Amino acid sequence: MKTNYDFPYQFLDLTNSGNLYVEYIAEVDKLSLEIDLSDFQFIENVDVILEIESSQTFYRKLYTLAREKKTVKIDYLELGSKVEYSILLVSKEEGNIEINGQFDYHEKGDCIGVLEKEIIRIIDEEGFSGLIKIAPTIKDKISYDLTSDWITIEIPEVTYEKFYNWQKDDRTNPFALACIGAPCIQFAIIKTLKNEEYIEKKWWESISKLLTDSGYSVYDLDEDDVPGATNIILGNCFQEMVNAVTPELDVEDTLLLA
Amino acid sequence: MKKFTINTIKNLKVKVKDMNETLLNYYTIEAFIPDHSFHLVTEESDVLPINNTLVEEMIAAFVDENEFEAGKLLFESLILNPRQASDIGFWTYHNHYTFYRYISRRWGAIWNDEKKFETPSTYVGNHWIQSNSSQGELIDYPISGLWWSFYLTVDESRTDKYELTKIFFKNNSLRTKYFGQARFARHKPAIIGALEFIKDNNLENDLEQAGRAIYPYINLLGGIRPLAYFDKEWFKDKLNNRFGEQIATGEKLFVRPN
Repeated sequence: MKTNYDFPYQFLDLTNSGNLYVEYIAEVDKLSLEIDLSDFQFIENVDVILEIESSQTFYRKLYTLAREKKTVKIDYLELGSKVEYSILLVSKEEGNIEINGQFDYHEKGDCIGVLEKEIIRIIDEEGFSGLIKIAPTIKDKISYDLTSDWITIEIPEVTYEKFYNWQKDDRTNPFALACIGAPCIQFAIIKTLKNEEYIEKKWWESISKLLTDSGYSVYDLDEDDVPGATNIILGNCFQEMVNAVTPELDVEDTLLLA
Repeated sequence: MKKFTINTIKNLKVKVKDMNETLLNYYTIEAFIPDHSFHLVTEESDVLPINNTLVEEMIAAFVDENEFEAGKLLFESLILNPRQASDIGFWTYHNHYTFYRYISRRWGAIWNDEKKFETPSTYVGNHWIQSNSSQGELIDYPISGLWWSFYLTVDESRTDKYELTKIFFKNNSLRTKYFGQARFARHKPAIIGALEFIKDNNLENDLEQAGRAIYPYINLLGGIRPLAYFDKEWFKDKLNNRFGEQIATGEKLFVRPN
């Protein structure tokens, strides 16, 4: 997924999700980040910095790092539900810098490479009901509202009356999620792939967390991943639906049918 | 002080959206008068109470379309940490009760018989119901926007710590759109540097032009470097290099592309 951060050119990508330099601990009243760069080969004339941002509280701070371990503690009162951090290589001064045998000219402060980039989510575990609000409307059509912290699915009153009973019953809940929830989640993911604005939405944080917990990389998500990702977000509702109706079909067949 | 639960905001937003014709029976110019159908649930927040006369003082202080004095009264009376100030349950409750009359006087177009609103529900949603805790909406809504505008621009190092805040309040688009919604606004030296540049170059009388030119330029600078790496003087130098000649020759800073 492209973000403004990657514009106008790609930085040297040195990220390695299997070997993270930052370990974070959610303490009672603080978020604690422990940074260990003892394995990293520092480069002359290059600062290694940790930049931390939390958009909901307008928080943006930068720490210069060294080989020694460093701990950064931030009071939760300063942070919203999403905290983004990056470890960046930044040119200390104007001039040529050699990396991997190649010399390039940089001004002071230019970003040369990204060593690590992650999102920490400090969100309440509300699950699907916290992510989506399903509401009746007097209008005669279904619509999705992506403008709030949550997604609202508005459905006509008559349909809502039926749906309300479906979603309350464990036996019919997978059908409800699959028929009403799935198109909405697919729509929301596809919109997010095409529109940077949605990356900042709180509902996208919830979706990202659910996907990350299931092994998806939200940065690399593309349209082919949408059906599978939707199934994950909806608690594997397709599989449950299949199990209830036609156990001989597997979830891939059902997704194709959907 | 009280706040709405998130579920209450979800219900309120849907209810108001469906209520164009009867809406002004509940949202009167003097007060919000809900009936039992609204299902408004509140909880206690940990924000300290404000004095009872604050809103009347704010109304009296709002003159000539400039909200600086009203905002100063609010900021000095309402003691919040950033997390509290990003709580949409808190803001939406107080938009409907504590600050209702200030908002209806400042943004009272829906009660103006000469202006026929086709969708008053959208107007109410855009001024009273905060359903999104993003930076863009926190700075854009009437009361939370006043508070955050002060938080971002107060400069304790100046003799008059509100000197730059006064400039910020001279143009609503600059405050709530161009600078207020920019990612660089989270880095205080960036926004202070930009406002100082405006002040030093006497651009206060054409803030619309200045804002439209400056914010995309700083965003562009941020495309290849972490802006939090730089101090206030760096931002002023960059702006002087980019716009100094145009200012000296009296050229417009912003020219709409053909």
